Amino acid sequence: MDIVKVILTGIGLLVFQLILAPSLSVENIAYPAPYVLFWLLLPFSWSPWTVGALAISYGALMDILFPPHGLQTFCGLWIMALRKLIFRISHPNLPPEWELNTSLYHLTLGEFFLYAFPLTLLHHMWYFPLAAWEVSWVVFFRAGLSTTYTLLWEWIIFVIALQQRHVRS
Amino acid sequence: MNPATWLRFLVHPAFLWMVGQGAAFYFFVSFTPAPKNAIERFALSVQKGIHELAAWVSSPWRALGQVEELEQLVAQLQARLSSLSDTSIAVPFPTGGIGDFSALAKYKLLPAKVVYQTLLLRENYAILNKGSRDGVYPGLGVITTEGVIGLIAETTATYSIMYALFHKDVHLSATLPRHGVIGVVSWSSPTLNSLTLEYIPLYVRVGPNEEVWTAPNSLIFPAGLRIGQVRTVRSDFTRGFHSIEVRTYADWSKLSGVFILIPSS
Repeated sequence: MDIVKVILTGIGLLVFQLILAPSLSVENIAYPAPYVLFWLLLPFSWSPWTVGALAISYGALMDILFPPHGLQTFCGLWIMALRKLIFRISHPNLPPEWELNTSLYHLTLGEFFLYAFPLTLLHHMWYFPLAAWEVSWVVFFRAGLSTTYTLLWEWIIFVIALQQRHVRS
Repeated sequence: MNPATWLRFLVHPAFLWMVGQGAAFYFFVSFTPAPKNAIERFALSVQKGIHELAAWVSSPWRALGQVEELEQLVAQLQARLSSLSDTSIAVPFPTGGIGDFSALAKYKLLPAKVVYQTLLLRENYAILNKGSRDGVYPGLGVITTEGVIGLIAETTATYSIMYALFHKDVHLSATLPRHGVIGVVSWSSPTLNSLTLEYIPLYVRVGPNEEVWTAPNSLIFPAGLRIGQVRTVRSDFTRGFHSIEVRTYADWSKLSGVFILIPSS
């Protein structure tokens, strides 16, 4: 069932990014990019091959739809590479074989924030300077604001559509 | 490494991640003008740096090669020069000795070398390596690149004797071009390179560093050749004239080449 949920999440985020995100963006200040959530919520229990194939496929699809081509995959793969590390830092007392027993859909809001914020920030700090091809305080400020704005929408989507509260006690 | 190790390396997630990142970044750079241009500029600057470094490293060898080429060129020129006669050699024009260039319109300049000169006599003279065969005869003026130096007194077929301005019997008609007054320069003091200009009326206000040229009424020199510069002015009220010390431009103690002024007609 997980694979179906992941694919549906990807399609939903893609549609959100295509239809709603342009209307939600604040010109020159903050741009929402909740499609990052797809890379964040790929299950830890899956093999690196499966996760990698999905991450690259999703990035390639985003690259086809949204320029600059190649940058979505590039930034998304950074999330894929570092997400386990960030999760372990935010959860220092993880048991052995935690990857098999951890479901990202069961995170509390606090846990979700600790996990999603640094990775979203990392994504945006790569994405915005490269997309604008400019390194300046304005660009980094815009990246920071967009991270906050994106996190807000990730949070909303996560809470409304994805979080499974009833499973977690 | 055996093939199995290679295969493990090639299918390692970290390696594949790097390949994926490389491909994604390649597409980003290829399809986006700004990074593409920036990378091209960077590549060009790197190329330029490498070329400059290579040029800097190879510069001593290139300089040595150029020196060798120049040496060959000099040898060729010297060989060609040695085959030419003296008269066809280009002669420097004594621009420093001329105050008024129209003065030389009716003269040609014959370069000559000083083969002997006196230094400590009251009748100083020099022997020049040009004589009557070269069209030299007594009474011609002689100048250096700095100014007037003397006149031809005697000639043989191949040599001439030039009386210097620093000869007690040489008196030359001179003028102060700023005022247009005419006087006579002679060597009345025992000091070399120093003449006395006399017969300048007292009403002429002469200052130091004024030019002294040959006068239009000179029978030896054309007007407008530079003789020297006023050094000191002494007013002789008993005679009614200034007695002016003139520092000559031509230096008798550094004489080597001179020019004999021969009338063209």
